Amino acid sequence: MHKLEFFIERWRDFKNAQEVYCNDDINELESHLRNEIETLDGCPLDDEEKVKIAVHRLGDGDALSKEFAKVNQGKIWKKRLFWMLSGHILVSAIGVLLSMLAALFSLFNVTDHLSLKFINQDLFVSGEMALVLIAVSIFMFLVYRQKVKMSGFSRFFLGLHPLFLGLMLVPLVLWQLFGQQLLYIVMTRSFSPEQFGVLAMQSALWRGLWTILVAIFFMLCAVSVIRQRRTGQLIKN
Amino acid sequence: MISKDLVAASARPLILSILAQGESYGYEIIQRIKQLSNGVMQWKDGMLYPVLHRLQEQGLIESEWRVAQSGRKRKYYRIKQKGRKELAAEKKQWMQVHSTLLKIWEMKPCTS
Repeated sequence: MHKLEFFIERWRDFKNAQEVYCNDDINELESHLRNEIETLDGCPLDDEEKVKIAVHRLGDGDALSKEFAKVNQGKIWKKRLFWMLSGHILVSAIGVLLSMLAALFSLFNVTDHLSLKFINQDLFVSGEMALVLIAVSIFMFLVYRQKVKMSGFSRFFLGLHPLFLGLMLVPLVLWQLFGQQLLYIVMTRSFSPEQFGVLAMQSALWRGLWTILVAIFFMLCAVSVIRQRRTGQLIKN
Repeated sequence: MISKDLVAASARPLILSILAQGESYGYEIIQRIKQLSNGVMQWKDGMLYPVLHRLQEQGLIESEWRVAQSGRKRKYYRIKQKGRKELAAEKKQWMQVHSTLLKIWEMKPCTS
């Protein structure tokens, strides 16, 4: 019987690797597969052959994924959005770490009081952000590990309309990547170094706030992914 | 053997009709269709599920994971009021097509 579980698990891994199936679909197809395998019980077949026949009866894999892709279109885009944001966070994390290193390095090279104050603040903000981003990265890694096994995704997240999510998240990311920098170039042309310093600090604080918001969002996703994995395991028993 | 297009087109009324007789799960629905059509309607089994999910999305049926007597979890589907209305409308259309064809062919309804 252990062998049968191994072959079914292998089939699940194969389906999980295809983004068109969500966790619930695979659970349902697995339930069907097990019914089909049961009907082959009396036949002189080994476990691998039984699984192969049952999978064959499910139908051509490509045609099936095409049909599921049509039904799950919204969910697929949400998944893509999730991984796009993950990439964005990872890049931000690396950026923050670098700026922290730069601030640390410049501490040894300044002598005047004002610059020292700014660098201290900068170090504080980037240090805080780095901590949050490292925590998020660990969560993302956990989500990724779950995906390899089960391809689960947050029920909460899936409940939202993809268009709404896109409208909400894409402008935020674009703003953070390009908008702020463009605004800076225009605004700071006539600024004195002190004014520029204050503005830079404020923008760093806002960036910190945004990072924390994204962090909370990702943690919610990760927690429900783990919960889904547990419900997936129930089917076997 | 019935053509692929016709099988696909009849999937909706077939599933709704079976669920109108009582709740069921994917594997059982496919077996019922095979049995009722004497094996003439050949489905590739997996294809049923996207159709079920679409019907659910449209609010015609609802589903629930439950533990079956065998001890394994199964996803059961049930028809909703909106689904019954949709079925009545589909039934009317299918009967209209059916009677039109019969008139053209000048045949009495087939009993075999």
